[in-house]
Amino acid sequence: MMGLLGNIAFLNPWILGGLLLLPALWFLLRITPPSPKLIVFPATRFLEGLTPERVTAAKTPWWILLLRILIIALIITALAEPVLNPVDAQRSKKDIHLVIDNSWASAQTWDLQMQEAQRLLDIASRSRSTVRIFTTAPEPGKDKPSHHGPMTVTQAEAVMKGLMPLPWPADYQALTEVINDNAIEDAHRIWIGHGLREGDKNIFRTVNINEYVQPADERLPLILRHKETFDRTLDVQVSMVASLKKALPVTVGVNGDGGRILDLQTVTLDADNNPVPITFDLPDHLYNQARQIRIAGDKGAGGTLILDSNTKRMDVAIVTPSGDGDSTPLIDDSYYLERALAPYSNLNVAMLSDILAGRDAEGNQTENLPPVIIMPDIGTLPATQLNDLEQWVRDGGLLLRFAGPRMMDGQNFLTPVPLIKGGRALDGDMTWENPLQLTDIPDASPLSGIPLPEEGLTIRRQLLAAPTTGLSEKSWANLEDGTPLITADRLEKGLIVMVHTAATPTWSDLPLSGFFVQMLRRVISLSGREGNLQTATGLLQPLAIMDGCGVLHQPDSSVRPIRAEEFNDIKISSIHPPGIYGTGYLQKILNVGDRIGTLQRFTDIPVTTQSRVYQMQAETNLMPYALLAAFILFLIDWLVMLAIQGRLSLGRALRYASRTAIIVLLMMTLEAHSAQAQGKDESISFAGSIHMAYVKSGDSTIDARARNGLTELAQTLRGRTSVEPSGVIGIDIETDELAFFPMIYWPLTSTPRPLSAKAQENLQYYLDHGGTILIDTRDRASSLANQGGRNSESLRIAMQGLNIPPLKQMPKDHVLTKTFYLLTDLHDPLGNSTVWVEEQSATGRDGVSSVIIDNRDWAGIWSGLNGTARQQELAQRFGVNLMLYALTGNYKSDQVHLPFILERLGQ
Amino acid sequence: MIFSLRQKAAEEAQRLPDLLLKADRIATSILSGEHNQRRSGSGEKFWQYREYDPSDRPQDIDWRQTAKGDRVFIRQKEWQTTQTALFWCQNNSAMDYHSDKDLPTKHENAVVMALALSILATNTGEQVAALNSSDMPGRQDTALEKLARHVTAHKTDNLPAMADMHPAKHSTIFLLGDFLAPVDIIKDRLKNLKERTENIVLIQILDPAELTLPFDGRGIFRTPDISAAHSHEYLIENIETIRSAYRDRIDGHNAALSELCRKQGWHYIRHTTDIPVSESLQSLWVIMRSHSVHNRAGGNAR
Repeated sequence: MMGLLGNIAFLNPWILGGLLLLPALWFLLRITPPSPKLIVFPATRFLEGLTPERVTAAKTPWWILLLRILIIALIITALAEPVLNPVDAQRSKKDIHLVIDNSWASAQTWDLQMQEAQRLLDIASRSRSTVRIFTTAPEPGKDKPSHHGPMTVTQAEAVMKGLMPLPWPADYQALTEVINDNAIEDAHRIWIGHGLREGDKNIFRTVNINEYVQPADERLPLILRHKETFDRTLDVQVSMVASLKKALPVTVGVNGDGGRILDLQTVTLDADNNPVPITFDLPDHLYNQARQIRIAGDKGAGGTLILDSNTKRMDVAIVTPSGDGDSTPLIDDSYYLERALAPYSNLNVAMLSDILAGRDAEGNQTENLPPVIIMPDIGTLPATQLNDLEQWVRDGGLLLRFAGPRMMDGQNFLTPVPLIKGGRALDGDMTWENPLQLTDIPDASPLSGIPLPEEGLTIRRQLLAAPTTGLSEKSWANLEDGTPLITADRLEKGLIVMVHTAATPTWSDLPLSGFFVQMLRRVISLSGREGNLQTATGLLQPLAIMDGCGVLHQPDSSVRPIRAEEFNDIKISSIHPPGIYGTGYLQKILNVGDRIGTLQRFTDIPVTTQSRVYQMQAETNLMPYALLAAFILFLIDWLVMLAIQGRLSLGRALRYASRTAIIVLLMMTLEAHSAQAQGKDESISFAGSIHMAYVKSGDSTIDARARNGLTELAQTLRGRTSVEPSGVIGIDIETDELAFFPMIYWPLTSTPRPLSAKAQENLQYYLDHGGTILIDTRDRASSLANQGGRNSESLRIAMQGLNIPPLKQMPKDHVLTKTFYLLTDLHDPLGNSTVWVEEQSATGRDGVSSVIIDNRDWAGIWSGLNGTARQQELAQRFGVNLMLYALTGNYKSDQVHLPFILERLGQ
Repeated sequence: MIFSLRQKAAEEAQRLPDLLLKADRIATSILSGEHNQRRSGSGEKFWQYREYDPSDRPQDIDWRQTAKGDRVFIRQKEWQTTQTALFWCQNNSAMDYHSDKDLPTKHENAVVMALALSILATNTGEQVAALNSSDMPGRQDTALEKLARHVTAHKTDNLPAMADMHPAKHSTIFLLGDFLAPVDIIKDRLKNLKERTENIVLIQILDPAELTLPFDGRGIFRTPDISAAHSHEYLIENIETIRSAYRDRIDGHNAALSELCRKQGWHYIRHTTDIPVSESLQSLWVIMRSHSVHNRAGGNAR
């Protein structure tokens, strides 16, 4: 408070000279008395000759004068544009050069950077300087960062709006070149940074930076990295470059398709725990749906990890001849397979007959036939089982076979290549040959890229493939003498892979090597994929790339494919942005967190560079406030004048004054406090009859839309059902009691607004006690299939911290489709349902979903602003169903009531 | 100009049904319970049987009743009289005054009261007309309507004009106005009427503000009709200080007016616009019944 006055500056101080006129004004006002009022009065005759006792002062009272002088003074002050916390403007005429960090880390500090840039541009506009803007990271597909200018401040503002954080690192080398090539003039150079150093530490000296602005320690960028472990959990770590003084809570979530949150964990970063490991231990059905791990909030590409499809846990069946499920340790074929695959897949070790009948070893029925069956050393099979197995492969199954003593009689049924009868022993006493090494994995092989053990992989016995045409295309791995060790072939939709040696260490070292595990995982990951197994070039095409904000997009032409063998060494850059790369059968992930080295800060900033931290406090223009004060004083003056002229008694004057004051106060606080007053009487009326409620978004058009839509829906409900809503209420989750409303409609805006703790608590309580919320992201137009729309980030932010069960797309037989109307086509013309409900198994509410999410802008359709007449009718019907769902729950699907329903139908 | 006059007339005409209805309601509330004169007379309606007296006309004997017994009865019919009630309503700018927009104007009250009185009069069999019109007095709705139209549309001075002072003999005259003119002038002007009839009812209608002067501060007072010869305009600095003097004056005027009426044998009643018309009318009706007009007008059948 001390420096409050000191922090006020005037932008047009010369106007303050007008204050000198005030004494003259005093004089002028003083000689004009208030005019008398005219009273038309029939009995005027009787007033003749009556003389009043004393005379009203013909001069204005001094306090009215003071009031008026104050009004004028305020107006003059307002015109001088007072500013609170002014930017300490260097009013030099020097040009301003802004260097804006826009590499991957800037997504996390973008708001601060833009705010600071705007502040600097404000200064520049006052001193009418010319501006240049440089960015640090190259534009997509280019090798140099962009530069703009010289230009005016207005142009610069437009340029700034076009800047976006990019997902790759900065290139200081290129930046230096760009600055030296384009900006020779003397200028004040300000680096608006994200706080990390991404190259040469002498950059400030080389490009002559005068000012460096960086975020405070707790706002420095975070990075999310994989942590390699060999169990079945998802492990990541969050780290920050700074040594933190205060603990910083970080929330990390696992997202599924369409941005659905599968799990959330909040950890605390502090001086001792940096980096912090996070382990997500998801149930199997959720584990397979995990697509991304990301730091909650706007953390951009550095806070997002795309998950490898290898992490997907497959159902794998391993065939045992005995079928007792217990394999003899170290001897049985299935023992090594189980050990290798257990962390990565759901295993079912059983007899083939059971597997094909969909049973596990204990005879329990499994849901589906497994997509992968591994047959170690299984020779002859009954004909019926062979037929079933063949049909399963033709339908798309992946059959992985291992050789063994029982396969030595020249099998060629369900093998990729015909086998030669008898094995090839390389280490026997009677052989000439020595054991051979596995050395050759062709580039085109799906197994390419898996590192071979340095000490070599010795194969002692194998089954030989009969030499046929096309054998070399079918072989995925060869021994040093060129004999195929792993062969594969398509059978219609399915795939048969044959490893020409046993799954036990008796024939080779293969089961004991790391290659074994990786090879198995790679092969299993091919399950379900169709297409050519061979790629001609070994190029990984970009399938989806991430932008600076961590959102996946379709790649454009600026993204180059990557050679498979170079993939592990590739650096993220403007031509290789993070994302998913791959070909028909192979997918590889390029994540920022996995490819960026240790994070560094600028440590020794040269003395010529002034370093400071972003200030949260922006300058505030006081002009509107001064004008408002003048206006209020003017109103007071007006009331006083009315009172003096006798048109108002004092009581009336006070009444008017209070009314006016109330109106003014209302106008001022309408936005902030409109929802505050939910009195007791209101509560009683809410409890007495059904009210429809919507969450106020703060955007008046959206609120009006929601209100109209719900009013329309209420009308329909009254007309068609026995539900008779008596009103539509806009509510504030934070302050209002929600318990009265059976259903709350929540339209989301594109500006995300995290819920306060109070609001979360309120909402959670509501959901836990039987409330239903329809969340409308209203972004159908912008959403792709299975990809979140423009408001999905808002949804994510709004839902943060709420304990909501997993959601799924609404099945066609959901209760919502039959609570009142039997709805069959809630699905849009493309056949995609966009309605998400809770997974029934996951709720403790008897299968009634508390959260329903859609992107259709229901209010717009209900109120008749959108859609065709048919769609509007369907929307009304859906609304009716929804309301009845909120009121009756799963009544219509509950078989307990079936007799009564049948009875009512007259049966 | 013509347009505006016509428009004004049309507006007035629109108000008529409303005023008539108001008046009718008030009249009904007063009439409820007592409708007939309860006196034998020359009316059409049966009143009572009375024993034959030789002074009665033989054709009045009710033979059917006589045949029931030994005595001879005559059938008497109800006494009915046709008197004329004439109304004058002051209708100038002074009457358009109301001190508060929630109060009716003085003129509105005057019209409602006049119409209510005329309805009461027609109900008791009298004929009504406006004092200052050439319309024939009548008892029907048309007469009422004519009267209503006249009192709303016809502008007057602040007192009845000399030319109107020739009503039919023995008619009852109702004068409604604010009577704020000096008492001498009122006396002078009404002198002529006195020769024609003694049944004069003077109803003074005032706005409460005219009695209390509820203004404060500084103000210019002006008579409503600025063009009239007797217009006044006074600048008063501190209105509240002259209030009591004003009240003394207006009260003195009213007392003088009342005294004048008493001397002349006229009925006088004062109505202020802040009390319901029906209330004043009720008290007026009581006064009039106690000095039954008809007694003096030659009740021949008592």
